[in-house]
Amino acid sequence: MTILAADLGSLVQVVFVSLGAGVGVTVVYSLAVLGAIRSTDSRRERRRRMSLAWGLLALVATIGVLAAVGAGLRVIAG
Amino acid sequence: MDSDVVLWIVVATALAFDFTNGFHDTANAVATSISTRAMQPRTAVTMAAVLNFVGAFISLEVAATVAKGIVEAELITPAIVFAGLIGAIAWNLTTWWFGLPSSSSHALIGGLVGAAFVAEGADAIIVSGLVESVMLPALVAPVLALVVAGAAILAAYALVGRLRPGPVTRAFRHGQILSGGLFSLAHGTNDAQKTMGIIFLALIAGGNLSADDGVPTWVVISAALAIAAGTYVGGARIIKTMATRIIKMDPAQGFAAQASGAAVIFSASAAGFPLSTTHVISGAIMGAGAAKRASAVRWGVAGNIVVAWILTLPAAALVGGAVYEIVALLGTDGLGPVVVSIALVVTLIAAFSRRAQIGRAAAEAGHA
Repeated sequence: MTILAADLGSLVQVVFVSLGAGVGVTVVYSLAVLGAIRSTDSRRERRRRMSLAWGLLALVATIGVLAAVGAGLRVIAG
Repeated sequence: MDSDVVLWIVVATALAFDFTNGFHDTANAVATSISTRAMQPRTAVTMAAVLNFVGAFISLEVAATVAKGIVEAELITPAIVFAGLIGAIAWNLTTWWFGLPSSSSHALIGGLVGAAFVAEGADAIIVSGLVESVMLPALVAPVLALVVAGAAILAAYALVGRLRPGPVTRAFRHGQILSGGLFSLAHGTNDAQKTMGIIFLALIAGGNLSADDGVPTWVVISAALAIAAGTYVGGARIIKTMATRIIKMDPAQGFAAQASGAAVIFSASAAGFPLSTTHVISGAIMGAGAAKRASAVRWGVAGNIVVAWILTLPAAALVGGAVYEIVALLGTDGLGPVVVSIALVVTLIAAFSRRAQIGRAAAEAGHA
């Protein structure tokens, strides 16, 4: 009996998952970069609250990237 | 001659193929990191080798597709697997010799399909599996990677494009350690499994395992070690092609290309598609480049790569079929694989000696 590990439905799923993961990780990492740079700039300009807010964005986005990578690996290994 | 001897020749040849796969595909994993100066070449290659090893343990879906989804396992003999492997190795080394990125995966599948067709006819080929698991993903993968990387870099530029370029460049260089690592992991996950699938198929063909068994642990470990060793030894010629001749990239583009490539390969591995990592990263690099400026991509070089993609399956199939004819002529149960293995090793030694001589002569002429 022929066992096919994949079919056209899986290929369509691969297309959507790849789009979401590839663009998603890049966007979230870009948010981390944006937050970190804006935070540094705000600190130089002595705008403490803005610096804190941008820093928070950088932190959350960095955690988001790591969480997305970890979750993706778990799905594949599972 | 004992049939176990033929089986061990097949296993050794499969691991040799895995080594050449790692050797050939090092560029896929590290080219963008080196091109953007995110990492030193030796550091990047070492990281890629370690993560290729780790990646080989993540999933076994692709191994199952290669072993059971492309050719009829009951009709396959160790000699057919051997001939397919030789076809793939010959094609891999030819494209490496001329510095052309091709697809090790499609070389492997082409070689196997060619040898199976010559030995057992069309009945040995699972056409639906070949089309749905290999040919369609082969068409979709580079285009998908191109679109994903293009969308990713446009989104990234929208967010960070107006910031000071210095810190952005530094941040994405750091990010490329993550994205390059992910791509290496993805490469190990998809590519090492193809060798596992081939060895698994040979063990089924030799009567050592049934199709319902799982992939033995020693097969997983040996395939992981072989691809990691091949990756570490590396392929400087192809790194040069991939890193500089397709497009000059900034670190954000490198990050987008690697993250998108890893996303495509990981999702395809989970579905059991034996994708070409070369196709994926080439498409992603072009997408990241074209999204910024279409003229930044050197389309002539990209065209050469496309030609290599188109040629890989049929060329490896032809070589695989021809090798099976030679093996069958000499005897599939013993002498054939031994003689062909020895002939391949002798040819390789002669070719590399000649290359070394030419290199020395060129160096002496340069000094004169």
